[in-house]
Amino acid sequence: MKGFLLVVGALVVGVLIGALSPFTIPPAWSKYVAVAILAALDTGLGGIRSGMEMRFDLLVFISGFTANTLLAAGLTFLGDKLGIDLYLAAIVVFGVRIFENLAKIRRLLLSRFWTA
Amino acid sequence: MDKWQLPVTVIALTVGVLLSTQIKSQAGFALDELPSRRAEELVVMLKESDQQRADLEREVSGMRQQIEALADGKRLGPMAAEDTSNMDEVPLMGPGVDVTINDSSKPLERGEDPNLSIVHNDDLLRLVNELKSAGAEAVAVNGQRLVDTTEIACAGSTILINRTRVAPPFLVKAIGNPDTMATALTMRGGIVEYLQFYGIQVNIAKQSKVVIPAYTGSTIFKYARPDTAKVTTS
Repeated sequence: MKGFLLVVGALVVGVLIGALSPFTIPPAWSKYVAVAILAALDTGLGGIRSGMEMRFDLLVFISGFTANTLLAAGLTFLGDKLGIDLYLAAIVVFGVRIFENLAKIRRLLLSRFWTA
Repeated sequence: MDKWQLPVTVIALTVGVLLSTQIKSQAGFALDELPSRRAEELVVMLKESDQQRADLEREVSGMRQQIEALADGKRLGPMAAEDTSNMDEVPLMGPGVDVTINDSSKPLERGEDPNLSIVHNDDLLRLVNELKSAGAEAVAVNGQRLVDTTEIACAGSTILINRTRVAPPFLVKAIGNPDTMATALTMRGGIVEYLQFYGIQVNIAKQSKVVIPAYTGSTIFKYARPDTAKVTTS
């Protein structure tokens, strides 16, 4: 349970850092950042899930995050060049995966704390 | 502590930073990111801000009336009969002309440039300038009073006057000597002849009473200040 507190705490600290720091994101980059946020969210939830399933692998975690982010950024860039909102594809995929991961985590939590 | 917790914590921190930075930035440049917004969204935004401006204009004119009511008797207000320094902010009336101009109604022939048959901001500028040189004392186009800061600018398919979009037909009202102004417009080689050459419909009506609305835009100067040295010596 402590692990979740750590994660939530890090999220809150991150939000505070972002809110208090003087940096802003230039308009042209906002799409990329949006995709990156979803990629990171997806990776984080995926990490929690695999951790709960006792099959967390640091290498898979890091490589998955890197590959997903790069692919999403590449799609966004290509979409910009082609004039198609290709980044929507990345957003949809990450969105679906976030839901899936959340559902798995929910079931795992339920089986751990409810029926045990 | 499980081995998954540290990496996920790092990711959570990243998500937090990105999330709040993005939200902060979006709030700042929500308007800059126009190309990726849909046209309908823009139309809604435009309508909203038009509505806001109309409300604000109403507020301004209400406040001006209050000021005048408060300054009544002290001759502070622009209503003072002999004070012509602030005539922009009061509605005016007097003899003058109504000039209506509209895009050409002739059907275009093949190869003809449709640009030539519509009223451009240049045409309006020339017309207004001609009226002024003929002694017009107050001019308004489609209810927009022309003052020192008024622009007549091309904005896509419409024309901006006092930052307000106006569209044909244009009704130009001017107070001054009706005969002088009408003659100035219709003289040979003059503006009316020029416009009619391109098929633009021009109609001039001399009026014994023309009413010109007050200027409702901002009267606040951001850069210009009175030159106090000059004021005190003169």
